[in-house]
Amino acid sequence: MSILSKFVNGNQVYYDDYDYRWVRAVGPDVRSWEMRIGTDFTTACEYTVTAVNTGGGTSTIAQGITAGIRAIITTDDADNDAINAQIVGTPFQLASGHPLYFGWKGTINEATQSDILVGLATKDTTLIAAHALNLADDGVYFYKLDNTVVIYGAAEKTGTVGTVTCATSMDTSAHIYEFFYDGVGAITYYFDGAEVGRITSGYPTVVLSPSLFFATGSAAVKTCTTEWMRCIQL
Amino acid sequence: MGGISSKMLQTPTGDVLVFHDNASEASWVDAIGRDVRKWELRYGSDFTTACEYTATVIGADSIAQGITAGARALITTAAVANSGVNLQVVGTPFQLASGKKCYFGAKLTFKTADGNDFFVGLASTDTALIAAHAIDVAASAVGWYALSSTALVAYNEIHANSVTTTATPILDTSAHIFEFLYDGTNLNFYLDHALVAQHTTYVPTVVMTPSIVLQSSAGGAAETCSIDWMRCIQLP
Repeated sequence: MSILSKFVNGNQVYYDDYDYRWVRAVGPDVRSWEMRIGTDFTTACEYTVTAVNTGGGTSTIAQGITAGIRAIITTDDADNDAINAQIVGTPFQLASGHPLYFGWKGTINEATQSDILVGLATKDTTLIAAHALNLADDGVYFYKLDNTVVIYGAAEKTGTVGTVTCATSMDTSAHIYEFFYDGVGAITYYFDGAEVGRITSGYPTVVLSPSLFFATGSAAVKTCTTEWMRCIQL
Repeated sequence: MGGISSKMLQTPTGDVLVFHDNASEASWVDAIGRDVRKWELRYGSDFTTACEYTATVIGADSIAQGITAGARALITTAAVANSGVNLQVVGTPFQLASGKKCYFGAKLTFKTADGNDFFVGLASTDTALIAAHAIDVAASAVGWYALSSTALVAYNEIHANSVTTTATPILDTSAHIFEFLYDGTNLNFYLDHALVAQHTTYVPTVVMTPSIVLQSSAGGAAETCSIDWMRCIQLP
């Protein structure tokens, strides 16, 4: 494996392992966001954080104290307790001629009794509710719901969801979830570098924000850690 | 010599493209790779809440965005001995581990050469890295310090067991670059890009966070430390 670069739309794009896995892009109009070390999760300056706390404590998202962890979500201890976090603003929008990469490397400590959604979505404080997708509008994302270990890649437009299914089941190891919009008409989903599937219609064209939702699926505290999360659009 | 160069460094999980100052291959300015951990003091940092930094202020001191172009932060102490600011990034994002190279650097300018106590580097979470003109690290740290003198000391510590080397150049009021590079085994300390020492023992292994402390040593006048840049990069 090596870091290579190529020119795309006049921008220099650095990638590793696979030419879709963009890790950096340099250009005057590049749109690039990456969860940073030292992120502010405690005010509404960088993220809109919505906590669901029905147990005896509080659901939180914070800097990791384990080296390399940029964020750790710790849920409260009642079923459906959760954190819904979105970047302030809606900086990304799928549009013809503007390819986009999104990637997340993370770990959850409970494969079955949990809900997770990660990707791009319209502004929404409850991306998942009662163990079901609950986006009011649109999104491009990965998700897994409570009581199952099946991971889906999804594109949602005005409530209609198209999905592709990962061959690998959810577990408690770190995995890399990525999708790439080619700027032409296809979103390709990847799990740990393997192509999951492709969605070529019914994807959103409205403005979207990097989003992360995690909920416990039982009356116990669950955690979700983020090693990195980035989105790059040309 | 100005400018930058780049090199590909191998890591257990793949290669990383590292950009370095032409003045020194150990002076990393950026790294590109899937799992690179990088932190840099940013323009527009929030020092006023506890969101990005844990700032422990002793006396009527402050840390704020610099109003001088290029200064990302300005620490100003009160004119009282031992007053100052102890600043750490929230979280502990870095940990020296075998085979995982880690760079830390800061470019600092002090108002006076010997009127300060300062530390800059990585440290375990600690609200009083310096106390009473002495290093007061409770757990582990690695970096540079000067204590009420112009002597610049490269230092690393694990629970009161430390190694130090005093650099030949003495502190003055010009800008200086304080750096160290953990090569995956040992700590190599650089002052203004020149290798000062290699320390092979008491290399911390716990989680640490970028940290800077400035305190007035004698009082009588406010001391300042201007931070042009400060960054830490670790390879996977």
